[in-house]
Amino acid sequence: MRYTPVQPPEGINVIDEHPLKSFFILTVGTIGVLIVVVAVLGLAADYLVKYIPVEYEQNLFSKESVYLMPFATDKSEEGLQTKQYLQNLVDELHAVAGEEYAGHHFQVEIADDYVANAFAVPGGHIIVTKGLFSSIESENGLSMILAHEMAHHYERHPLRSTGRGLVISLFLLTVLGADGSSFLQGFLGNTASITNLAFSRQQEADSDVFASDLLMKFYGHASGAAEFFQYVESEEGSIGEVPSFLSTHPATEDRISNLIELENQYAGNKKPLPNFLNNYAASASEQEEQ
Amino acid sequence: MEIIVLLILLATGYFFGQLAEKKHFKSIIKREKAHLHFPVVTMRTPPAITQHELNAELVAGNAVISIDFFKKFVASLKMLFGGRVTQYESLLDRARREALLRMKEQAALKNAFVVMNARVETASISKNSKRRNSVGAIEVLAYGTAISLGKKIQR
Repeated sequence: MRYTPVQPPEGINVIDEHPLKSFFILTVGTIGVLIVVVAVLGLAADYLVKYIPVEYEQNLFSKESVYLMPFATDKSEEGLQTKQYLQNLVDELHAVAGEEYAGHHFQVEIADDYVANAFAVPGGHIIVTKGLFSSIESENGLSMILAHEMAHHYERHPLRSTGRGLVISLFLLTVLGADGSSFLQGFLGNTASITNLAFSRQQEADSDVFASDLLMKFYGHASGAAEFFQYVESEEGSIGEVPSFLSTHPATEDRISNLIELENQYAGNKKPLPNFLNNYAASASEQEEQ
Repeated sequence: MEIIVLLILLATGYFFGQLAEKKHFKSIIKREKAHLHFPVVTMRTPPAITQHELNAELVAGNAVISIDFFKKFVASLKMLFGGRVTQYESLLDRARREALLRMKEQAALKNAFVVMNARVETASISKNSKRRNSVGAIEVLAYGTAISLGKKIQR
């Protein structure tokens, strides 16, 4: 038996291919597939949500359920008074919204948070933060925000987002498994949520339009519509800009310019905020400073 | 923010991983050529040499090569679609050749002229680790019987 020393050729066990090639093909492919799947699942969830009756949603996300706990209004006299005032305002706005929305009921809560914000939570809940009251100057401005959150409810946005989130999470869990630990999961999860943001921005823009319409119906003019957004813009300067594709909301400038145009076109006298609300806002900002 | 972290990790993994791999392959090929005259075989029976006694001794070489973040990321994407995971293949190739080389180098130190019954085994290190972002490594163990010439047989 003979042994002939020969160096085996390269390229059999390891193929000579640039590693970035498969990286780009796989990344672009995965992101592409994911965007399509998320969009299709999202649209499917979106489409089905309107068949869920409002009463069913309200039972499912009742006031008693645990998830509303962090948003409960404080029990102080001013707190309850403010809540009642907001509730009346919402009910009055609702009365002029139109018959097709008659099935909706709203419940307002004031969250103990000093960042000006308001959001709609499934089940007809509207949460406003204490900080919101110092960001607006008139009842009209407040009504605009409430109407905006009501518009979310009228169009079933909170439920649609929840449904979409649920379906997409389920999909990612099915594909990637449940331990939720790998970087890949983080990467795909991020891609999915960025895709979702486009839906969210559309919802915000739609709600702005709806809210300014409702404001016009209620007061007969559009003054105060841009109040809150002007406040947001003045605040935004200090925290820096987020690129709009990474944001849940449309760029504030775009929202403002439309609303200011509307305000100028249909100007009127603003209604002042009641005194107890101003006091409540003042005490809230004092608490914040402490 | 997470995306930036991911990109930094990918770039780091790619840069250092590729650097290490290129360097390693160069060294492997160079050393393989240097040890080319030294046979490693899988035969179990020693050659029929009658003039000398034969010494037999276990020699082993093992190599642990870590995967880098870039490879791991691309491989995990690949695992969604299936196909040849070339990222792991080069790793295994490096580990196997390195382990065999180390075994040869050890055998050469013992003045052996052949390694008989050579075997290669592999294991993965920290594969089942539940730690987040754990980067696994593979181990290859090569072992065999080094045969060297002993005393001359007097007749």
